[in-house]
Amino acid sequence: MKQFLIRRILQMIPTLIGVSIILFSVFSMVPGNFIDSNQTISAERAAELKHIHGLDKPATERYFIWASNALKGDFGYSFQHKVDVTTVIDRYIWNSVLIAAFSMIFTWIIAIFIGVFSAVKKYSLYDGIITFIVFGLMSLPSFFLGLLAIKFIAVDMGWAPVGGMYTTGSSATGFAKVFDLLEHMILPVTVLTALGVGGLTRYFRTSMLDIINQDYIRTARAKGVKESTVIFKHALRNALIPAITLLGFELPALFSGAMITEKIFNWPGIGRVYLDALNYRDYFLLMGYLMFLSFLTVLGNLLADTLYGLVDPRVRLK
Amino acid sequence: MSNNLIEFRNLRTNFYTGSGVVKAVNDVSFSIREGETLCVVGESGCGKSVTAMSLMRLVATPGKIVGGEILYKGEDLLKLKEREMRYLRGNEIAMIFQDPMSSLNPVLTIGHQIAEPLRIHKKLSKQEAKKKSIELIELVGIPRAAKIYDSYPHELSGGMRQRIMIAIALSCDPKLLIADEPTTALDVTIQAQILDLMRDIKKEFNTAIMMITHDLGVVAEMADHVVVMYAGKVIEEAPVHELFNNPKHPYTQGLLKAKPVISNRQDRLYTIPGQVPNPVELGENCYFNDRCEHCMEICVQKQPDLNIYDNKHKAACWLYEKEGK
Ligand SMILES: Nc1ncnc2c1ncn2[C@@H]1O[C@H](COP(=O)(O)OP(=O)(O)OP(=O)(O)O)[C@@H](O)[C@H]1O
Ligand SMILES: [Mg+2]
Repeated sequence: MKQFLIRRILQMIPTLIGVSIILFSVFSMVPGNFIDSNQTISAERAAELKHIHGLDKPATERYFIWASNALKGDFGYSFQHKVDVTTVIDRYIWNSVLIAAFSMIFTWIIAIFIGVFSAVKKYSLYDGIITFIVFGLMSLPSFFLGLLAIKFIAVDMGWAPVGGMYTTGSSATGFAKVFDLLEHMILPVTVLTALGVGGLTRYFRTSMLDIINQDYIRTARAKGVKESTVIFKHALRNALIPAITLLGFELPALFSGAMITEKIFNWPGIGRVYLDALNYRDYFLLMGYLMFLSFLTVLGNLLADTLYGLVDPRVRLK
Repeated sequence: MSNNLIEFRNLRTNFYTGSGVVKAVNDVSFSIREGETLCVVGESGCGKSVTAMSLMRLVATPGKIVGGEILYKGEDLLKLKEREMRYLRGNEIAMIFQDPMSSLNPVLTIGHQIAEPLRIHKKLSKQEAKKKSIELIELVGIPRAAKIYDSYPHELSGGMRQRIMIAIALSCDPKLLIADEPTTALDVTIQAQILDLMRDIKKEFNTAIMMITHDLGVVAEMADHVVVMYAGKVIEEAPVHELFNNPKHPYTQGLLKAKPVISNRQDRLYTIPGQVPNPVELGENCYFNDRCEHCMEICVQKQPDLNIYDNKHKAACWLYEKEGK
């Protein structure tokens, strides 16, 4: 196990170096930068600024400067926010994690239950209706679903505030503040859950359908095991094992933020900040953020494999 | 003789498929006595497994039991509530399946899977169930039982897994053990060991066995009584010696001819000509007529009944009826 981990962690290094080279090349090939796009400064001032930020150097040299700083944890300076990239990411990312985590928990619980039940009652009316709803929600664009949610949940029903993270001008503290936050989370979490539940439901439905027809399920029934135990112990356990891999892959999704949804609900998350940074050509912020996500993706892969090894007796790591 | 433990009376099980209704079990009647080994033989697809699954009431959609009775100690199983039926499954009526490689749950330990029926039916505590499970693993002849208890199925060979299946089936001392081709997936030496084990068990616990097979060697070795099925129907039924010495139905005669005999080597083994009829398009005739060398006019017009002849020998064939003479 220890050996496996060490080997896998070492394997991450060349992958990340490769990713950083590709990222940097792509961004250095795009014409223009934050200074060029700023019309208000003079040519001399622009040249001066470029010199300060090293933009007048050749691309390879800039890559090494950027990469060696990144290794020390310094991803450069955000022109737009006028602070370090790491500070910007740290400031917004946790807001994104907050709604992503809640919606992920709901998505998984709902998908497991709906998936299992529509597999058990396959081709029934229940299965048909649920499949229709879930796929309908999944195929709607997020902005449309967001607007629908604002119209029905916030405006018509008045169950939740329309947007933002806290009520503007509110000076609530303690529990009242947490409650205010939770209220503001209702809409974005609902929309993210509705968007995500479809794929996972389909996954659980198909894998449960497959497993329910396995010989060992017949064996369990022939032993006189209760149907609920057959489904939730004998079958679901087998369906969850490959799903653990998906859970590992969700690690980057937890931190990546939801650009459109955050924009619609005016949620101060990293996804929205990223979208704005694109418009401002705030390259250091973009690169830093993408590099961070790449790191999480690679880490998520490792996590998936490790978890898989822990839960599946057939591949249990020595 | 002793009493009937199981009695199938005119059992009918259909499958409602896209291409039509398959009468997988079509008016089947026979019985199994206490402590007896009954073998059900017949070609692939003739309804042997479906008969067994009907007895367990585990026929899954699109299949449905549409008629008849299955009496267990005189009580109709088909009328029991699901909860009552569940109490019998794995407890009084246990089943072993054909493919030991896929019949055990890959993510649960062997011990857990053996202990499960003990916990459910005998209400044993964890420790008691563990103790009994280890005894059962020893009983079916696997060494280092305590270690096997904590293993997972993939760590065991096919023969060992089938022994585990037998251990699970035996855990609650069933009155009836259904074995659906328990040795087909295993190689010959392991096959012989498994059959020996089942014979020992029968002797020791006086368990009745319903053994499904298409291997006449297994029948000769194990059976007290034999039921021959063809296209969902019982076409012949007799005590084993009677059947081997004096087969009545041309299909049974063909089956016995198709079996290799070492003292009498031929270049090619005998095969019954033709194929099993399409189960969807069966009419009101003898289903074997187009493959039968004795086919007569009446065979294509009317279905023969299963009638009893001398020595408890039953057969469904016009050859033995006055209409056919
Ligand atoms: N799930 C199903 N759906 C449709 N038809 C089925 C299904 N299961 C069985 N049948 C039909 O029922 C008939 C009997 O099948 P059964 O499994 O009992 O055969 P068998 O005698 O056990 O054959 P084998 O020796 O190959 O195990 C077959 O004709 C098959 O087509
Ligand atoms: Mg079968």
